[in-house]
Amino acid sequence: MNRRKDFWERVDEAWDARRDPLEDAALQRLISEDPGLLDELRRVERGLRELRAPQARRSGWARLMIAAVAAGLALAWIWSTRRDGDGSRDAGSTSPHTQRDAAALASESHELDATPRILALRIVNTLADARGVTEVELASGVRSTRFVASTAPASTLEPRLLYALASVVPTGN
Amino acid sequence: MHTLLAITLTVAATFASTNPGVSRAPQSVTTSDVRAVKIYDVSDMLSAFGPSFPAPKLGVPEPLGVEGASSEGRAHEPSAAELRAANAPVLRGLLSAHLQPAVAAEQLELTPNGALIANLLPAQHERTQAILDQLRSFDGMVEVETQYLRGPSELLKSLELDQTAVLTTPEALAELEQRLAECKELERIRAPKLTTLAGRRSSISITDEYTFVRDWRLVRAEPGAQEIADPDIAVLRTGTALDMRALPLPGDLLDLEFELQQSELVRPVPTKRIARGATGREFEIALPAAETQRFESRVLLHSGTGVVLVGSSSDPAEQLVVLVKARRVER
Repeated sequence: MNRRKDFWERVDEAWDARRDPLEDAALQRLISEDPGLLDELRRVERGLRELRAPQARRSGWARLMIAAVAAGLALAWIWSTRRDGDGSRDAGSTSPHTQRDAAALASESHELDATPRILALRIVNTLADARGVTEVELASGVRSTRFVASTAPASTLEPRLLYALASVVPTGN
Repeated sequence: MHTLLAITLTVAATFASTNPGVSRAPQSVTTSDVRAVKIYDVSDMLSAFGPSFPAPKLGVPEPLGVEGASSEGRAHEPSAAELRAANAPVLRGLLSAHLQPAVAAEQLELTPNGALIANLLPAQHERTQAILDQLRSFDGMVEVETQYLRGPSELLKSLELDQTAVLTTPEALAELEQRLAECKELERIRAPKLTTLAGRRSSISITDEYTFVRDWRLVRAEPGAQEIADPDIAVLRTGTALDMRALPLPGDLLDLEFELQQSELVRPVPTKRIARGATGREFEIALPAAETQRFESRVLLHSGTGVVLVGSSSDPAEQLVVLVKARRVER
């Protein structure tokens, strides 16, 4: 409980100082001791981001409403965390950061996959001439063509009409 | 306000996590399939990867003097923070490419001070640690040699060079090189080779420059309000370029990320007469064209092996093939 309190106090200090909380060595240590705190921090940051944009448009009355709701929730949080402190947490519950990954069950090997292979490949053929640059790209069996832009001053273009063209043709490769 | 919002959202999270219908149901979760957060200090590694710079762009005309400007930018000594920021995607990309099962972007977070916060399964943490250990302990260099070859499709087929393929063993590579040595009909364009430190971005280009007048403009200047012709001069660079980064992995493996370019000027270069100014003075300009093939790839190879990349030219008589070999070498 003290750890969580300490964590949020330090996060708050970091935010007030316009610093990234994850830069704080003490916070990093607390997260490594209780990784669930990172998920909580992420949720809060995500919420803040979502609130930030609409917040600017809200009226003062709406801000008061938010503050009132937040205060109520804060009381509820204190009540809830006190319950945790009393040891009433369900022994069967899992930490919020724990996630069962079905794919992991299939991956029993701890070794690096040592099969030599091509991890990514993109082939682009380019023709640059007075009219512009035409790119033909072959990636994942799909050939796509696009006329990019003129490389020459407009006065030398033939024809003088600038156009853009794109096409995608599966090659079946 | 920060505190208030933090409390608000934390409470929501607390309620969600204590909802009996959601997460309190007992689960048979074992330690091997539960993600855990670990923080790795990778600031030294991110700095050691060195500065980044744009890959050379062949086959596209640029105003005269652009190369000088880019080398001026390269001379700027980046700060440690800039290096960490620039190289964070490199380390994230490496780990993402080699962790199984695949990881989401938010599972690997790199902070500006060089801490890697990884939310992974135990096996993935083991691999991450092994990869980081190898990157730190590797004190050799990586040699990458390329051969740009060209020939008709039939010839390439007879040499088994008609399809992109990985040469998984040194023996397979030696056998292919033997076949290439015996074949006299194949055109050998260039063979740039680079020896570089692990993780360092390296680049080599062998280019021809075609400098040409692409336009004229008339400027009225004193004394006498003379009409002076001012040429717009551009440079078209063609040739061969190799831009790469090699990262050693456990088990004698090399993760090779590279961009290969082969560009050629189309000859003859057409010219054109254009009229400028009120008097219609005529000037001649050049209209060069360049054909470029670019391969952007990432491969996993054993040291001493290679990969064959086959271009996608529409002309069967002029297929481009690039053989890329990589091996670890001592300093």
